[in-house]
Amino acid sequence: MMSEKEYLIFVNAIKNKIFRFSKRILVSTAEAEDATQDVLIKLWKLRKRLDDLNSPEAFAMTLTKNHCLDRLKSSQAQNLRITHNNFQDRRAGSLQRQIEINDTVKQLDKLIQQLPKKQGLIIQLRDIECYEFAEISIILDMKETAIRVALSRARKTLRDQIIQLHRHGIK
Amino acid sequence: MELNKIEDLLEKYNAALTSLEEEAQLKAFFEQASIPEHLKVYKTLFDCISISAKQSFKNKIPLKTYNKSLKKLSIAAVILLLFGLFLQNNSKQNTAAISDEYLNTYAKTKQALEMLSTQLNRGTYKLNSLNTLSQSLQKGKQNINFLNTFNTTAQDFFKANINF
Repeated sequence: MMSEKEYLIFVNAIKNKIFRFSKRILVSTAEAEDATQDVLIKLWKLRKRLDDLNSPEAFAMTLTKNHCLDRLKSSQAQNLRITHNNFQDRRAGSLQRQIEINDTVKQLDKLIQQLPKKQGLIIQLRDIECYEFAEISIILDMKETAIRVALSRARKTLRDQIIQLHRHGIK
Repeated sequence: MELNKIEDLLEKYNAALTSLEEEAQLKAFFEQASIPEHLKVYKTLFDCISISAKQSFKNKIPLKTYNKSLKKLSIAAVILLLFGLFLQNNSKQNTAAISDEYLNTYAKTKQALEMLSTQLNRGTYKLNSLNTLSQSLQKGKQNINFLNTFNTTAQDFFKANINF
């Protein structure tokens, strides 16, 4: 049984990861915010059982993945296209360098978007959220060796794509 | 850190064989400003990754979802309670007002009804004499019955006489 305080500590530590993971799947910031909200409510309802789990965090991320994929499915069924939202904090880029970085972040986002779905999720979980392979294995329900193969492919693809971008002078 | 060590790590990284610690070392290395030209690609990559990792969820954490409904419920209960008390109070005041204003009418009505009642009682008293009349009629009827039996016996008697 997780008390309200324990729940808050747990959720505060993980909410950004849930949000970023949702955004990786749903692309749109607004959709990701809604999804995060929903997942947090689900976690609150399940808080009595969270303590009994081996890894509550992996469970929360699995929940996020399933929730977002469901949403994606239903929105596709309704023929609603989720559009790509740009980063909102572009106004903060008063410095040239800041703008350049934001643009490349956007580019990287697009590149990850173009990867096969599983590879994108693996990049998110490993390189951005720094999860162990064992945890990723639980979250994505994949074998570790398969994860390593996919991750290696994804990293090489990203590197090659960035080299191409640099060559074309698009920073 | 030595450059060739970094290059080794990068190779392992691309093969997805680095541990989290080694990946942290790489990220730390690429945070510094001066990176050799041939490794600039990774600088871009790790910069983007670290910025992506800073995106945060700014909305409030939804909490006490069921507590909220409990709150609403209690507010509704209090309102109902107050309403109930108000109604009760109101009705008490009403009775006080009525007793003052309509007591007279009530007394008059009562008097009138009592008068009616006595008249009715008188009526029933008169009906009692009807009752006695009925009783005497009953007696008369009995007497007639006697006459009847006398009549039949007389007829029987006559019949017997004729037969003789």
